[in-house]
Amino acid sequence: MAALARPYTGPTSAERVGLTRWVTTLDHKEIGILYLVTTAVFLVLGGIEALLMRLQLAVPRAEVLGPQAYNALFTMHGTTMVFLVVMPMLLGFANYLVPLMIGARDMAFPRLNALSYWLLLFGGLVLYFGFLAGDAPDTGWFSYAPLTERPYSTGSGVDYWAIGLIVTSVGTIATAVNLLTTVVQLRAPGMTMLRLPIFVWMSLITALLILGAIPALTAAQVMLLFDRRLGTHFFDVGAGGDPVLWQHLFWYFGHPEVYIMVLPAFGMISEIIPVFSRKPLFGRPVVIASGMAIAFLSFLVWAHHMFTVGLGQISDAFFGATSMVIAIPTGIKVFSWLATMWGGRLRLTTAMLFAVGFVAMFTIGGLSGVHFAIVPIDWQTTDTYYVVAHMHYVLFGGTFFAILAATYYWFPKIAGRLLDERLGKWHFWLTFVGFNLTFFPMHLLGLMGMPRRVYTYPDLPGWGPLNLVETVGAFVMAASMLVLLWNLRESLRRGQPASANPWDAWTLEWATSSPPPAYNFETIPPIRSARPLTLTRRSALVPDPPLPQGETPSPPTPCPSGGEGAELASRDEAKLASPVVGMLSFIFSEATFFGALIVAYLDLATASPGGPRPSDLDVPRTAVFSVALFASSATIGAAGRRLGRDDRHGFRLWLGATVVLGAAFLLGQASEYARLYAEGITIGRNLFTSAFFTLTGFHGAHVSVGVLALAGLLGLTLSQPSWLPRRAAVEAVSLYWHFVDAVWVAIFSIVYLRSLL
Amino acid sequence: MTQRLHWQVLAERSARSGAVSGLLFLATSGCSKPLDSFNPVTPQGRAISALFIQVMALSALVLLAVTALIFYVLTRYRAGRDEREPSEVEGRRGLEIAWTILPAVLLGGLFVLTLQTMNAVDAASPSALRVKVVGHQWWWEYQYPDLGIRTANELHLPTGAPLKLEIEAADVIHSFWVPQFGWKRDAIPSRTNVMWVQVDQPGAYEGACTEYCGLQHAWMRVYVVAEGREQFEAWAERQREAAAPAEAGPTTRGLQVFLQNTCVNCHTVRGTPASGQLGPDLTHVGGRSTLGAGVLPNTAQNMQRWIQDAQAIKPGALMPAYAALADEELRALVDYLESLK
Repeated sequence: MAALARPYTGPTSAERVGLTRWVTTLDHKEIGILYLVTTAVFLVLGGIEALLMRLQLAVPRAEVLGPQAYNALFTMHGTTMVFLVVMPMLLGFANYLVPLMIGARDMAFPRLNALSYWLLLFGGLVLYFGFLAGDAPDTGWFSYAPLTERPYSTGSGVDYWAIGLIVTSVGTIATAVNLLTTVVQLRAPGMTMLRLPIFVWMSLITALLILGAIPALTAAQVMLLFDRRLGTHFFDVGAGGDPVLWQHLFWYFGHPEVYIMVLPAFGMISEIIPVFSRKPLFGRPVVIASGMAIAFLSFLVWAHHMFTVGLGQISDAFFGATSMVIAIPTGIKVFSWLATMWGGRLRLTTAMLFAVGFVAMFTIGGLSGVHFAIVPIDWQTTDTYYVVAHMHYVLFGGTFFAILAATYYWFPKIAGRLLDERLGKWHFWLTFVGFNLTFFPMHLLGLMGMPRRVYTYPDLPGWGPLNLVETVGAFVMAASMLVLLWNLRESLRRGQPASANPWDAWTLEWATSSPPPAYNFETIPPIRSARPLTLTRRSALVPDPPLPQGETPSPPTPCPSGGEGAELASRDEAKLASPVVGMLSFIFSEATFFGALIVAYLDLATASPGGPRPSDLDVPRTAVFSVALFASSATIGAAGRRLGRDDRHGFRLWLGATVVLGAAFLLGQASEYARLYAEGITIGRNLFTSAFFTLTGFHGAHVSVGVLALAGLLGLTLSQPSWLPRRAAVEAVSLYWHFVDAVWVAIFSIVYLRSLL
Repeated sequence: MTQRLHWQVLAERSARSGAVSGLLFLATSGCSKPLDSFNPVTPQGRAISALFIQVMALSALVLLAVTALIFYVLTRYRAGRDEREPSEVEGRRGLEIAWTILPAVLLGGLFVLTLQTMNAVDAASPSALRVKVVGHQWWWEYQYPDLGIRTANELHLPTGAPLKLEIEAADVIHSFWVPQFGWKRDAIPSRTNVMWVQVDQPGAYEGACTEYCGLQHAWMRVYVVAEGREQFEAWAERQREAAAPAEAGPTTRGLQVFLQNTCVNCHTVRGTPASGQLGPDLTHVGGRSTLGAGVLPNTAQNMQRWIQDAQAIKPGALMPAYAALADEELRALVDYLESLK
């Protein structure tokens, strides 16, 4: 964190040219554009995969693709659309817009921001490498065990899938840390939390969802990889492993993921509808609160994906009830959008058409979502085409329509030119018709008995014609995407130049030129409401006229330190420093990760019929080196206090003590592993060893990283006697250290002390 | 079933004639067969279908209201003639409370119906006939522990009798679904899921594995024959018997080919030395209506194609190609297998 926060002194990205500029950029707007362009490319890939599937399904028993190819295509289509398109595209918009909307210079951690993007790209490339290697993932986007275990998936497709997603997930978590810190720390004066644009609010809630959900998937994928490559048995039925554990962990991630993909879309719609209705958002505080309610509930509904697993009536009823409750805050949003339009003065621009289309299509997806919450209806419809219809009404008719609305709405800000409205209308109507042709009949096919994920189907009455209609619809949608691409290309070249505020909107991003200068704002207008530009407009302060083509605005004063937003934070009356906020949010995600490993341990540790057991552990010995770790929490606290008093010597001393205690703990753990190894107790022996070594091993890895970081810090303070680290940085590192200790308290109680009972 | 409320019946009737018939019309485009989900043949399915129809009607109403509102707002408030700035309404407490409470009440009602239906559907019947359903990659094994029968891919059930389907899996997760039964259960290795049904109408019902289970998930079809008590007893009687001893002539030759090839490593034909356990039991294979878990109708010609090159028909299935068999051997083998009624 210390390194991330040091001022950047190299050339600004505007001074670099061509590829170097894009590869080295730290500017949130350029990173946002990288996200949007990259995800658009993945969108085209995912779309081509969908079209190939629709070709194969156009008629019964077609032989366009074999089962192998089809199964790889639906796996890659789902995985691509969720992890490489919808989620990162929304994060790309957030990357571009959130700092502008809150009046900030950049994200809180610009370097971390760039890292997030590159992790997304490289994770995506690992995933797609499967196609080049002739071994593409083919176990579905939720990849249920034991199909993914080595005996049933002998190739490497599952490994590409798991590793690719772990890489992108690390980037996504970093983005969430960054977004959260940015919103908490870098708001312009006057931008109180309640005045934040709804899109910023929804991005903030989404960041929390990411931190709480994605690490559960990462943990499950780590277990899967260990099963496949290290011989553990988490999901290995033959050794007593639990395939249902995979489902719990996956859906604990998977359902919040739905809201990670939907809440920012709600935010976009809540920005666009008011502007084109010339009215403020109806029930704004309630819209924010309902977003929070949805986020909270989304962690309590995961097992509605598992009603046919046979978890028992009580579990089914509970998760059915929580899932139904989500319909209430969701309904509130729909009604609020309708009430916003009521009595307004509607301008049916393409952005507005897509936004209204979103409301209608999302309503259909939301209603069929309620059907899946009603347990007995789910028993009938789950895993059929009814689900395929439902999820596409939510994610395509919902989220993707919102993304398209956002594209037409914010393109002028990003590109400095308006998109062509005539082509836009063509695009909308083709998409609308194609979408409904493709996905509405899927409801019927599901009710008729067509299961999802089949590469072909028997010629039963009605199945052929409905599938053919869907295929035609898919190609209509493909045509609509070509219209969009053409529109983008033409408008970038010779579109009408956009003024700073072409839609007469109210949020801060429209207060600066289109496109914004590298430093975002020359002046930030006074912020006295949720719609700061209303004030400007009403007092006849005309926004900046559009810049002549090709001219870049020059900064009024030398721009404060190239790519650094963190420094600007201090002007706010913030009580916490950005590294601390960032670390706290990172710790939240780490807690989820360790939580998942602990759940796995509790589920499996005593389930093995034979082999090593928890009672084989040497508890007193472990207690001794645990004390070293617990003591180190006190020493690092002391170091922080000495630093606060500018006591260099004391700081170094206590820091050194922390390193020594941490190292002592690691030595203790190493000797424990060595003793177990000597007794032949290794990770692949049974369920207990699988869960034990994975849990304690990951903890040990965290301690090692901490010890290395602290040792590095100690080395720096020793080699440069005049230098001391920033207090905020040390505070952030000690928070991490306290967390690692707290995790060990949990592990020591659950693994060691419990074995004495 | 518990006594149904008057309004439920009303809702159901109006829904049948309204929203659902619209769907039906769209679905079947001229053909008059209702959607399988709304044409159940079990009391369990009828309970679920009735609930589904009520929910569907309610959903249709909500959708209609939202769509009508959108159309009204779009025509009434479209910018054009009237260039005034709209009034700055930021919310209305009463309205917001109403659209929080009303859905909550409706959902509360639905939840009560949900619990009732769950109890009605997932209710044990002590005297039920046990049928063990085992999912394999990519076929179904059916055992009747009380009747001493083991067969594959064609599930025979008596009508009018409560049934306890004990659903298991031999390898990965599958899911057993017959749409007209009204519900499904997953087949998960290392556990047994119970599904209660009672088929009230004789007939043949199609279904499928609904949990993606690998390469040939698409051809893991379910085929159910429900028949009256007497016919079922007769079928069960035949199934209990070992395979008829091969008659002189071509079928003896066929049995010989069967026993001399690797068929016996995977398949059982009771009454012969063949006792493999990996593939479907073939003791009465000639009496079944499909091959390869639904991929082909069971005819002599298809049986020949299947033996010669199953991989061309169902790539990835464990059944290898027997391309090296001489024509005479193949014909004899097919004759023999088709004779196993």
